[in-house]
Amino acid sequence: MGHARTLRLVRDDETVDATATDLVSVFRNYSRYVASIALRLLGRDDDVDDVVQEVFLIAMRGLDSVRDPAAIRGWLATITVRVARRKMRRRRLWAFVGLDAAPDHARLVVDAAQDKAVLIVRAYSALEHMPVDDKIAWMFRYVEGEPLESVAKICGCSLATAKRRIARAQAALALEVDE
Amino acid sequence: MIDIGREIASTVRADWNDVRREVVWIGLRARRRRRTVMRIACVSAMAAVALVSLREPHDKRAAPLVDVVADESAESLTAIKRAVPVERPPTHEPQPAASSGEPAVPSRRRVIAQRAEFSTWRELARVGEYERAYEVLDGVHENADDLLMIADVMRLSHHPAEATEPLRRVVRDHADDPRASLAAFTLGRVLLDDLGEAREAAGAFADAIRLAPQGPLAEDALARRVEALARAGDTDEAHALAFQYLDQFPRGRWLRMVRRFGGL
Repeated sequence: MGHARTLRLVRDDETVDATATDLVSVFRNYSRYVASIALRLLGRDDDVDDVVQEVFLIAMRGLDSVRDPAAIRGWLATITVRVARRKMRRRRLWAFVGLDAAPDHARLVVDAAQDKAVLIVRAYSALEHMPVDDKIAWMFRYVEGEPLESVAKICGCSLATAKRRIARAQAALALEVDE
Repeated sequence: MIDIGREIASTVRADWNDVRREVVWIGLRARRRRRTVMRIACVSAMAAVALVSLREPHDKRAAPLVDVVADESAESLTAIKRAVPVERPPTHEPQPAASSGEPAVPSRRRVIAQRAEFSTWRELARVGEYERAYEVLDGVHENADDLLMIADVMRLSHHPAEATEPLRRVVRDHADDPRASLAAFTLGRVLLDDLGEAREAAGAFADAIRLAPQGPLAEDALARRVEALARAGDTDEAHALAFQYLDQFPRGRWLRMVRRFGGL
């Protein structure tokens, strides 16, 4: 169903069935989570809707094989990382050849206090210049608060690699933010 | 060092309200339909190639091509198998469906079988069976839920002209409903994209803005209004509204389109 059904389904006041594995329920339960990760990873609002759609289009194909509904959240995070990584690399390439303007991170913090806004914009500027994989690993560790094992799983790398990426990103950020 | 991660987590949040989620969901469905159409087109093309190849009995490409099609779509493979019997070497593997005594029903068929149990148009519409819902649609409906659902049944069963009336009634009779702006926006899309009624569409997009001037659809509605006016030949108003869009959304998502239709 289009409007009526989905509006009915996505209302926040409805009971959420965390065990449901059909596309509508999964979209209702996790689209906010996917949008939130996408926004923080990309650092720009204009690609978020596209990423959410892409993630659920990919997820749709694998939903039938989901055995454990509790694993859906992590699985969606992994897909989101894949989609966002592709998008970030494409954006960087476009920016390199002059087809994409630098993102305006100030748009992310319009409601924040001035000092906090400045801090976050500087952090995002630093994140923008570091390798995409380092940025993703750091984001999941320190922004999403995921344990190291989950970060490694979501990023599709070993635990040692995840630790190295996080440490590199942390060092680069420390230089920028503590200046 | 300041805990910058926590600062980002507490400050950078997606503006993810129900209406935006709804808009993304609609876009997701549209992309899904487009992909399905593309997949069907690709499978059909491959099926055609396979059929042509199978006409030549000594053409060794035939069987692999059918296998490729099988990977893409079970229905296409069935169609091809019906049209062209493909000889395969005998297999000695056990057949689970026959030996267990219980037919192994493919999951998709099981879903369709479950869907067949639904009888009312609402139930059919809720599981996405719009064509069948359209066939059994009955009764007089006044509330916004029903009207929006009927509009979807009409629209998604390929009867866009009939979808306009329930949408108009939501806009007219349920203007206080938070979905009225969305109904007006959808009406505009149907009128412009499906029916080619550009002038009426411009009015519907104006309603969408009027009903929720600060709503998440305001930017899209304004941009599409510029497009509708331009298509209706009202270039002066389209030009003026294009300036309004630039003023309101200097970094808007539809800048290029608005400039094009507004003649900027």
